[in-house]
Amino acid sequence: MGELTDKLTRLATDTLEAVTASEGETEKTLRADIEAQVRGRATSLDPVLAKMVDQVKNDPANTDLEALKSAGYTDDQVFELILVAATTEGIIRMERGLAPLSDAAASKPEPEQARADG
Amino acid sequence: MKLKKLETGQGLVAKLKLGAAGLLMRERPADILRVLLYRPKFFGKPFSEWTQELLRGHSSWSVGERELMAAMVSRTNECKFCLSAHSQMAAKMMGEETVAGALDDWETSGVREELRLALGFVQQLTRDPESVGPEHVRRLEAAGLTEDEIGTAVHIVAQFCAINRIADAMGFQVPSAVAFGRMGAALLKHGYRV
Repeated sequence: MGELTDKLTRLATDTLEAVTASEGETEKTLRADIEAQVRGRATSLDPVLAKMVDQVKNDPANTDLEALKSAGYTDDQVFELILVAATTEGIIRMERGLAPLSDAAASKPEPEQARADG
Repeated sequence: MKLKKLETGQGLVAKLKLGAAGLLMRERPADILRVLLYRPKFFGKPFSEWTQELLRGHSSWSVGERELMAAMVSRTNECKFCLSAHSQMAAKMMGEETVAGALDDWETSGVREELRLALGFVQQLTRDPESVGPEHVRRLEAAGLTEDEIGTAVHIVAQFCAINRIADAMGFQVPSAVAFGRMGAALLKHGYRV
């Protein structure tokens, strides 16, 4: 992978790390569940949160924040959970788009090996 | 903005920055700033560092080309706020007609071949990431794009698929075109760090 791409990936990973692992108004385990739900893994999320994740992924303009507030989530908690869901959705595309570049780099022979083979 | 706490809950320094942005735009400061300046260590600071490097850092893509790719992601995601902001910046650098043509139909647009192919890749990765495979990357490499040029395009998709969703889920108001123009000029001059 190129040097610039590696740097960008570190910055992207720092962003995901900040929203999932910083101290906040929601438990880190809940934020981990939001990330897992976005990634399509099985979770036992509160249905109102599972619906929020689906809306952020597929129909963000109609994300029903009032439903979250009615369920008792504060503005700070909603802020955090939306950031986790949206950032994860972006990171999924980063992983998908960079995978072929990583695979190609892994399959390239090391210079020593290339000389020996040649 | 659907979250009331983000209207006035920023710290003193952040409020001063919002006030300065309001003076610059000569209307309500853009909601993106309210998000980036609210508890900035949680999101705004790392996200804006990523943005600065991605859209303003050293790259063989021009600033205008990167802004155009950001606009393409935002258009594909139907995010009016981000599309307005980034298409305006791209147009300042590349011309309105070129940008409008590329966003309407990248396949027939008159931009250089490498950018034209990158725009198609960006649109596909935005819309349907599962459909993107090694063959799509190989096609870009065959056209002469380097790993870092492809990596930058991938990161623009990743970043804007995140911020488009944040803008729409939180209900960002879309400023007037004139105010966006003033904000865009400042972002082109000073960059994205908050």
